[in-house]
Amino acid sequence: MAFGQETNGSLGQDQGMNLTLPGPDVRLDLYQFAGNMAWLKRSDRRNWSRYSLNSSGSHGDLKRYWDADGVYLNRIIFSGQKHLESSDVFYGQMQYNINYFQRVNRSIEPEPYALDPFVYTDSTPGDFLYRGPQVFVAYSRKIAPDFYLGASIDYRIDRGLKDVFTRPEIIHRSIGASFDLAYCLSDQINIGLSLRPYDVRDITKLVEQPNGQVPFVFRYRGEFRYISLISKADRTAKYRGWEIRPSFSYKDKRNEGVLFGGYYYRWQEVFDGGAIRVRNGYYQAQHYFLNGTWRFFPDSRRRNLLALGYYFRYIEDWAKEPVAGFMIDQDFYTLHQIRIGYARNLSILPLKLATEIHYGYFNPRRNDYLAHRYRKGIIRNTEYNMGLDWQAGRAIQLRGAIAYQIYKEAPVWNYFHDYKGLSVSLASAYTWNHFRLDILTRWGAKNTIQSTQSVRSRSDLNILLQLVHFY
Amino acid sequence: MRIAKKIRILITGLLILMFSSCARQAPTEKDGRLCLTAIFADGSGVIAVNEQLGYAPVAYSRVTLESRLYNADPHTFARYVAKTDSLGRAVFRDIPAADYIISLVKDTTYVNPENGATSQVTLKGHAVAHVYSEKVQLDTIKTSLSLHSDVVINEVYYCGPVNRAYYFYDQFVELYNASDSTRYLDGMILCRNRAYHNPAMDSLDYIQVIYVYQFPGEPRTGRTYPIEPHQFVVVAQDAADHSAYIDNALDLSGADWEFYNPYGGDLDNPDVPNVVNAIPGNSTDFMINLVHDAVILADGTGYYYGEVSSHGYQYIHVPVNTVLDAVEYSANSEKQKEITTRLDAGFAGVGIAKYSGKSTERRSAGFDTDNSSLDFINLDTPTPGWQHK
Repeated sequence: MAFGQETNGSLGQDQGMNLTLPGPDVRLDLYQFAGNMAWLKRSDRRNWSRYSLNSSGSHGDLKRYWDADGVYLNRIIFSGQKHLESSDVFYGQMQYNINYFQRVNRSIEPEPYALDPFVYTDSTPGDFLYRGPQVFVAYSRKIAPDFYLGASIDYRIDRGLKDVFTRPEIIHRSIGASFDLAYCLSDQINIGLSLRPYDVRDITKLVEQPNGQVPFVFRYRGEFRYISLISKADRTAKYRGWEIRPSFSYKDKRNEGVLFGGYYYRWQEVFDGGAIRVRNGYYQAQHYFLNGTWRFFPDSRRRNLLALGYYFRYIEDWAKEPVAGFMIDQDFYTLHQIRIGYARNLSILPLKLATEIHYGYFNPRRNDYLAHRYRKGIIRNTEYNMGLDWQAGRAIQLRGAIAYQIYKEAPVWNYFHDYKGLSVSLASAYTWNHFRLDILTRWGAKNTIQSTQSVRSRSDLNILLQLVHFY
Repeated sequence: MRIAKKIRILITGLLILMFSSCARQAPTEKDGRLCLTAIFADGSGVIAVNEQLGYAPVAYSRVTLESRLYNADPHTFARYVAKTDSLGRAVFRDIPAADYIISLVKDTTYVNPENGATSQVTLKGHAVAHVYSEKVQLDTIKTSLSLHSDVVINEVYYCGPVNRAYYFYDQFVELYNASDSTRYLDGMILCRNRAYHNPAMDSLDYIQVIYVYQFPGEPRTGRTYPIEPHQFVVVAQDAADHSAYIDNALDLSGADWEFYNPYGGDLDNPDVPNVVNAIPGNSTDFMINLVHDAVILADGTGYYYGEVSSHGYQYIHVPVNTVLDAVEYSANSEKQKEITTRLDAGFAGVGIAKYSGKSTERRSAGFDTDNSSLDFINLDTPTPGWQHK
């Protein structure tokens, strides 16, 4: 899905069948798959507005140490697209997020398991409520017969409050932009280039407690070494960087595919209040990635579809302490994910059946020099999906899918251990005049397998309600 | 041509943006692999000088290296232990970059060369180590005879609450029994040091004080007023609820003891036992300076009247060998010492301003290296009767 945009009700997007059952509004092109805003003008020639309500909930004890028991994400989204002239198009989206994290274990920062080693915690589990708006705007313009420019800006701010000691207030503010080019080399081949700078700031504010006690907090450097102190100082984590992403697409009567690669850079600083930097540090990450999807229709009537997806990511990062600049942590990650799918349009019924297999291979290698802990171990994730898409009538479209997941994690990580999961999703779309109503429901459950410890589980439920108006 | 030129300009701009924030070089030195070497030499004369080495090595002794940054658990800093070799050298390997306190404590037997009498003494040596390069050497840390007492001054609150009425009468001194045995306060004295830097103070066998307040009972032998193992005892200037007068002031109506001067019309809470002024010529309550002073705890024996100042003020001499504990505090770490470094080598309370409502307390209950710069931390809120977490 394009950078900054939320779900468009696609079953494929939310379920994992996006290879073979992409959904009515989803296209495999430079805009929707590679996130190139310049291609917006060519991607979707319609004008529309959309009103969405999305609620997802997940609860259970199958989680990592600092994770929440329950995660409940709710969003209200208003979005729209308008072609101004023959050469311009605007897309705008306004969203309000209300996210509730139940029984977060000690962490008082938004993402304790982000790849940087600096984690901020107190000593108590508690609930967090985050609220805040998000705005995304994209623009695309045709400046020559085969040449397009695009740009976007994405701004989000959330304010989170914990209900118990240490009662921190967490402010998350992120700004991102993109500058994009797209060029049609021929009727089949298009190329693009995107540059995406970003700036994010997370501030955790502490206050004196109602009983007069100054808060007691922990500043982790890695998962095993920490500094405990009594402090009311604000703690700021700011990170900025950029991403460059060249992309390529091809389309003819039998084939369509998009491939993009790129480089992502992050530089992060974590510090107290003003210039006090003894307690935290610096972090740098570099990502190299490749992502491609290819669809092949063996027959001219497109009754059969073979699809292949490949995703690769290599990450190397390091962190250093702020006084003498010694490296405290250095990690290397390699991720491969392959997706294979087949879909068949039945000739006797307006029904499409599809199946996909996803295989993920993750090889992290983490060197915690501070704690003298050196870990490496493979994580594998396999998913088997089956789905169908039925045009039940002129105005009604129904979808269903089922997925079975097996996750295996090397014991050295001690995060989730091995687990299996099952999920079922149902979606419907009803179209009348210039309107379409989408409803999607997805339910899933996971359980640990062959664990030497107690059995852990997690269930989740996702509901999407959406109204689209075409002009 | 115009389009091609535009494309070239845009691509050039993007490339400039890209390379203008290129990745930083990873540090070459890894943390957790630093090495600290410290050499301990005795400066007290208890250990004989090795003629070949030219100093008195404190050999085969346990040395503790305590991090000032990382924790082993929420209330304890990470610690490493090593032993000195025959050269008095202790080596710590594979430690993280941080500030540390390195401490040596050695119990040994001292033989008096004049009369052959033996006595058990404790040698202590401490230093702060800034370990921020691969190899750090501390050469040399001198040990001295330790002032040893199970009962220590654990917290001092002296600066007064936040207020504009110059109110500071909620001062207190907190004592702590750091041992597993009952000790007795009978006859012990709490003193306020004379505010004066005496250049000869390190060679004198007494300290000069201006207040002497004494616990009831017989010094050294009395058994009426116990302080139980790991018990805190709060001695208030005035055992009253001071928050009735100033909002931010402390409620000390539940203090264990109260300083009382019968010669000066002092407040007396009848429900709280008194630590009484022992010097009739002094008519003031036990009021200590709000920014720089020293409080001394002694066993109550052997003190005597010293000289009288030009203003007619009577100084009292307390023998150094009767002192159980001494704490000097100062808001300014650059101030000259007013008490001998044999009793306290540093300053507690650095940075505490008057009328700030803060106190200074030992890092952990009873933690004592005879150096208040190392032993004490500042608290935003005083903790009379309990240890901060």
